[in-house]
Amino acid sequence: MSLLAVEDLRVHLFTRRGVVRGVDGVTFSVETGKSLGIVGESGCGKTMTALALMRLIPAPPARIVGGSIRFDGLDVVAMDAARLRALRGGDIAMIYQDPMTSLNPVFTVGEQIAEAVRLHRRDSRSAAWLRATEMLRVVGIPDPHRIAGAYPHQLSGGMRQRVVIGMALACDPKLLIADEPTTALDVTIQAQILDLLRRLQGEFGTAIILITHDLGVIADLVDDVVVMYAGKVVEHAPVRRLFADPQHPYTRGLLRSVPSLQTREHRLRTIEGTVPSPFAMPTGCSFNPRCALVRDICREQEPKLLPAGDATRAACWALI
Amino acid sequence: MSAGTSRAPLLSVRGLVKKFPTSGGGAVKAVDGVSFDLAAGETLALVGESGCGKSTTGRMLLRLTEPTTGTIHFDGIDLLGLGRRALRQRRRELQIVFQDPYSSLSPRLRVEDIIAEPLDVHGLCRTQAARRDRVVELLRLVGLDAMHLRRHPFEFSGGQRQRIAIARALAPGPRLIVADEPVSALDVSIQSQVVNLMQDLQARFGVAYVFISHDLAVVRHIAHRVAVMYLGRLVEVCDTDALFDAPHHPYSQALLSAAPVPDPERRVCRIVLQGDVPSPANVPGGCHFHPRCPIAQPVCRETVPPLREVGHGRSAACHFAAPLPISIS
Amino acid sequence: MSDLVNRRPTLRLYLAGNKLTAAGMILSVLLVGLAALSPLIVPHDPLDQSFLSAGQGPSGEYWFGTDAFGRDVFSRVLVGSRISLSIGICAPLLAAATGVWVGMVAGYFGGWIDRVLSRSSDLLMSFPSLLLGVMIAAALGPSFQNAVVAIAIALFPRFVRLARSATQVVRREPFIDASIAAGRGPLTIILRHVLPNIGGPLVVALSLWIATAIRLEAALSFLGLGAQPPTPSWGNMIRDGMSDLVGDPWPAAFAGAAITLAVLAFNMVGDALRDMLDPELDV
Repeated sequence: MSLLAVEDLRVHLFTRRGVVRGVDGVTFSVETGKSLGIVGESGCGKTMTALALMRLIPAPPARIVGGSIRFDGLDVVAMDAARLRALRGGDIAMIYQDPMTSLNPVFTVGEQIAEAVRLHRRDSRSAAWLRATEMLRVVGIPDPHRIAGAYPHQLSGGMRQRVVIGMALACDPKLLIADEPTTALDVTIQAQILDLLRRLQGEFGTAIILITHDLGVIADLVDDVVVMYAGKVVEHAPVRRLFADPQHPYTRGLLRSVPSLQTREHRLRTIEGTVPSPFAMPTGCSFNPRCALVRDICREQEPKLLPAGDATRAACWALI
Repeated sequence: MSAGTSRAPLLSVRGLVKKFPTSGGGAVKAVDGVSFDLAAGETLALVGESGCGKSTTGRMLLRLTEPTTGTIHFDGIDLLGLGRRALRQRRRELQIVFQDPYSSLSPRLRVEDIIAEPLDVHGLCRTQAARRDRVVELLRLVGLDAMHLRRHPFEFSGGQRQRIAIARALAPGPRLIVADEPVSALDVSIQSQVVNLMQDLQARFGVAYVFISHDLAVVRHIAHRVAVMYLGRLVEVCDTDALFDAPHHPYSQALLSAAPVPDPERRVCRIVLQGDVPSPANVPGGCHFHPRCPIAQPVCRETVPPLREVGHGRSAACHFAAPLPISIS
Repeated sequence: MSDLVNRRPTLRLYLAGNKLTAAGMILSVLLVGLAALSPLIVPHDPLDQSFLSAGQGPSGEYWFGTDAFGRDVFSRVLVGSRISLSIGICAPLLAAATGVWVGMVAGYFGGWIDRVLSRSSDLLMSFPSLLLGVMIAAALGPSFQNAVVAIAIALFPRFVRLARSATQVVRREPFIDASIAAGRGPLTIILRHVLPNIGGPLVVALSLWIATAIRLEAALSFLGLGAQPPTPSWGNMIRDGMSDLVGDPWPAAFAGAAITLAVLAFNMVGDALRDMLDPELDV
């Protein structure tokens, strides 16, 4: 049984201008100890999918309207409040892009980690503090005892992100969701954090869902990749296959438009056009206005996510 | 790869320094003695991580921030010595594109007025009709339609707004555009559109770019020469291909090896630097990079290495500069 | 190139979801309309005295009852609204028209210009607004114009402060630098780029200060420094009604109710405008 099984998840945003289908039928699964990357550009629904996994969707404008999320066999969508609180931070932890807003500026970092520990493991104050300093050491922070007494603003961006990772892992979650964890960091610090995540995954066996728009980060860290566009999954493949032989035209376009570090090209390849407005989604396949392989059926019917080669699934009429 | 080094450079910067006063009474040297040349029609990339001073340098070129000391010569003219009126006239030739497309366009104005602002200030269009024609022409040049004239910025996507910003920068016919992270805030597929656009415009109008970025892959593609900055100083300056094939400064080497490559098969032999990027308020003595440098020696702590020629049009500021081809397994 | 991403939320969309604030806005429009038309629609002459009808409660003929001199309270409240609302609206407008400029200059240039302008404005603001208004009105003599000036002076520093901080925020935006790079001079930039972009918070503040100005005017005329009798204003109606609150509460009660209603209505307008103009708010 998969650790996390998401089936046909639908999250809608109810605005006065209309309904936005932020997540529009997303299916994927994550196995224990494995890592999944969710890749897509802005507005594709990747963050909303991640928030839905712990039912952190902001409830007035948005709502889970369909599909199922099963974590360790439990139905997350129907979960009661108490079990949900235990899930959040305990079984599943999440880290965000901007560590400055994830940390409370008026408490020391040690206190914040200790608070998370006390909440989920019911440790005593001293045991929780010990665990907090231990986590700081584990995430590679030098002089953990001193840093535990520091406030977030006294630390650099890279250190803060380490603290946030330490806080997330302090309660030994089975799944870590990382939403653009290195986007706000400098390249050299990003390399450090990715190294850390890789090492921690090996040591703790935590499953990871890594959400990002950066294909280089994906290539570096994950086992499988889900590519999202306009709220849907367009391709799902093991990482090597995705890069070596992408199936969906959007994936191909995306990979081609990333400039190469190795060689200079004469002209960058692009995907023509822009992401459609959520209030004016095209009928049929949402990618059809920008697709080089578009056919009549693409404008009429949505393609389903079907097997398209070795361990790959893609949603495209041109592949059938 | 470099464009015409024999001609007099379009832009010549020497010893540029910017100090910001701090509350304690001291000062932070955001830029600490930067010198470089830029030829007409060439793209020089200023590369570095946060706090290295690349944005401040770019702003100083347009005197949006006044340098503390140093000289800037544009087309042989000392920009820093210009009075207000003369500077205003020179502004025709130097323009800027900013990183954030959401705050670089005046929200309450229409696109037509935003793009036409340089035209209005310098009186470049005599009649309303001429003004409109010129704006339409600029919109088309950046790949937008004339129907967008009367619209407001909030009606456009990030990529479209950046195109509008580029149209505005082009309006007075500048010889130099400072592009401060122009594609960093855009989606990947839009980035490549805008990068292509900038290259096309350079080919067509011969405009030079100072391209400030932290994204090395984009820099590889668009720049003729690259200047790597660290904590306010230049550490390496050379042709793009030369830098990427074999960087000489240990920081350039680490930076290049740290850049994530979208290819799971290629495990780049990565140099992972220890520690954090120090803040410009707390700069180490001697070579700024020595606390994190994998090959640091005692001399690095004491003596500042000057930026000097190390062969083939390359300068590096290191006592032990040596080529290190970025190896790939 | 494909088309547009956003549409600005319209007033109708907003009001449809906020019935209470819609009510407030309608109410304030109604009040202003009634005030404007008051001389034409009063059922009785507000100055018309009648000892026979003095001190009566609300009735079919006198909707709000009569005061000690037999004058129709309803008509007096209606005509009084003219004074109260026009001072209440003109004074903040005057304060804004002057204070916003000072604030923008202070916020844009910073440095010693800011220090001089801010300190002076802060000095003025350190007087409690009512006290200041009273001092000025007493010094200038009670009249409509002087009441406007007095209240405007009291409100002026608040607009300076607001405009200054809003300008400081806008000053940091890249589009200001872009305009400088285009060659624009600072005063043109302030007019063309700063003012339109600080309009939102200013309009909100204006509505809220109108509410305050109505109260201040009522206080001034209560103290005898506003409109002089027999001209009715809500403040002096309360003052006159004070002498016999138990026997004939109607003038004071209805005048007081009118003040409350007007203040409430303009506060709601201010809230509604703030929400509408907030770019973050999901309509």
